[in-house]
Amino acid sequence: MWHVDDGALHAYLDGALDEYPVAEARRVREHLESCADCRARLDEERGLREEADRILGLAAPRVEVPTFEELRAYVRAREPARTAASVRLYRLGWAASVALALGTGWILRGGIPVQVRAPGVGSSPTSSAALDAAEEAQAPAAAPSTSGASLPEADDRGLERERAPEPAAEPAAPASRRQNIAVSAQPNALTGGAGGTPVAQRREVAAGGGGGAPAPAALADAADLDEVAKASLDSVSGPAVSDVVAARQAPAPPTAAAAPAPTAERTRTDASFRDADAARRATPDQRLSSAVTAAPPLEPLAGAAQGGRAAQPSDAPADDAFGLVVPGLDVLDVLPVGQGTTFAGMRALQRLESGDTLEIVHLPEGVAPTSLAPLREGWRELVLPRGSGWLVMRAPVAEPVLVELLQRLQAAR
Amino acid sequence: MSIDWNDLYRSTFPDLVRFLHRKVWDAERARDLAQEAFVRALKHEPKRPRAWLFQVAANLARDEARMVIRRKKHLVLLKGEAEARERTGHDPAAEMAEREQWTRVREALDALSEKDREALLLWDAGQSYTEIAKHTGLAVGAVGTTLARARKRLAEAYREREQADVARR
Repeated sequence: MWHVDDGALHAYLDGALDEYPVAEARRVREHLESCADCRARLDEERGLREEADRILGLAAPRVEVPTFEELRAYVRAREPARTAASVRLYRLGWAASVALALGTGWILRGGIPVQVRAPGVGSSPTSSAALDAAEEAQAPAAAPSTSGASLPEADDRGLERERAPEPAAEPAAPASRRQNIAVSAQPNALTGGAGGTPVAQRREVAAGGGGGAPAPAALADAADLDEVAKASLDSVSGPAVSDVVAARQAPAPPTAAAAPAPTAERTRTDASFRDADAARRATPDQRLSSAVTAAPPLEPLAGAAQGGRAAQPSDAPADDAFGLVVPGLDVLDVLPVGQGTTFAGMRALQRLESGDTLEIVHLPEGVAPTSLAPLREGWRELVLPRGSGWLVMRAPVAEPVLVELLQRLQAAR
Repeated sequence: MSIDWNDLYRSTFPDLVRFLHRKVWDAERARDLAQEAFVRALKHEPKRPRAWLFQVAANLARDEARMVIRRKKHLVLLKGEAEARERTGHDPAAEMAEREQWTRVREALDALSEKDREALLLWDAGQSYTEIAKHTGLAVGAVGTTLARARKRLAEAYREREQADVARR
């Protein structure tokens, strides 16, 4: 005989049955009227519910609520002060990044075409230790690839397994198109992204490739979350971001089917970044040839192997120094990466208007982005060459939003 | 549809503080973060402000757990009159007892999975099943099951800690 489950009993007690489908709600109510067993269980669950409420009530704060007019007055009074504070913090961050650039001798121009990293799965920290862990020179090995499939043209050195198989309808999606998708200013994507845009396709592939459920907090309600994310955006104009070499999002939590990451996978990842470093150290002409030579391990995003734009060194902007902070956002911290006296880059933390944290890391030559902690669940990352090192941007926002933040960062340089 | 922000503020601010308090475990910071969420809501005027506020508040609380907010500003009322009232009622023994109780509740909540805890705290802060579903990614029909499990685990974990405290004394 069918009985009401605990979830429906709690929905009944919470007065939430009306939020259930009408037929299901009616069925629960009718059954409770006729089933003594379920009514007895209902009483038990009522007791449990009251106990839980009592426990939570023990930790209820005493709240003094200022009037709404006081809140409005606070908002009005706060704006100028906040702007001034932001300017001061921005200058501080700028000074820190310039000092960093001078100190580490970033005088080479970024000329490397493309690299892509394998996503870490499973080992993504979800605790507050994520950023601290990032400072460890040897971060825990990232975990398993998100998909066992790879594109035919990809070899085993790169991290092509980040990409799940392309949809059958688009078997020959040109590499250059993917690059343009990922790195250029896209008004449609920045305004929420039409479902059929290439960016959306790419994200779907990445999310589905893990074999697990997408991070729910990040994907639950795209419209709502986009609205939250866009709270940080004041403008959408800016230069094209032509040198992004990797854009990815944190994969879904590990599932039973997800295998642990083989150590060799991580090794290959580091090797591919070392290749990139070597190419950057070459002369401009050598860089060009190295770029073409190094094309096979690279994701088609770059299109180097297929003659895409990314193989052209001229695409990389001339950057001897750059800011680490996006103008207009509060700077929470600017601090060195590394342990003790080991310098492994600089990190700036900024608060987006949505309350999320934006992390911008500059890694000097020889320090691969893979040395950073794995992406946390729901976060996305952009990696691009800067000087002789790497710039990594991370935030729990949609990719177009991250690209927009990158544009603002570059526009400020 | 225009939003009555005054009404929304009065009805939601305490819920938001309650929600945040169980995340940052500091009443003053919970108020600050709730205030910050409202300041942003007034600026951006989201279409679904209540859900938006809780989403932003959750983000703020998550970051709060990682680092201390450098910039702290308070409403004069919050820093002045309200806290003066608290000071006059200052009782160290009662404060300590309250702290111990908070610690037990906190530890009991920590025994829950992240999703169960989030759903329970959202419910406790007055969110509907539909709102909880949107916030957590659960189906509406799964919210009841999640809450049932969360309440059971919370009660068990709290009792365990209570008994452990009694045994220690």
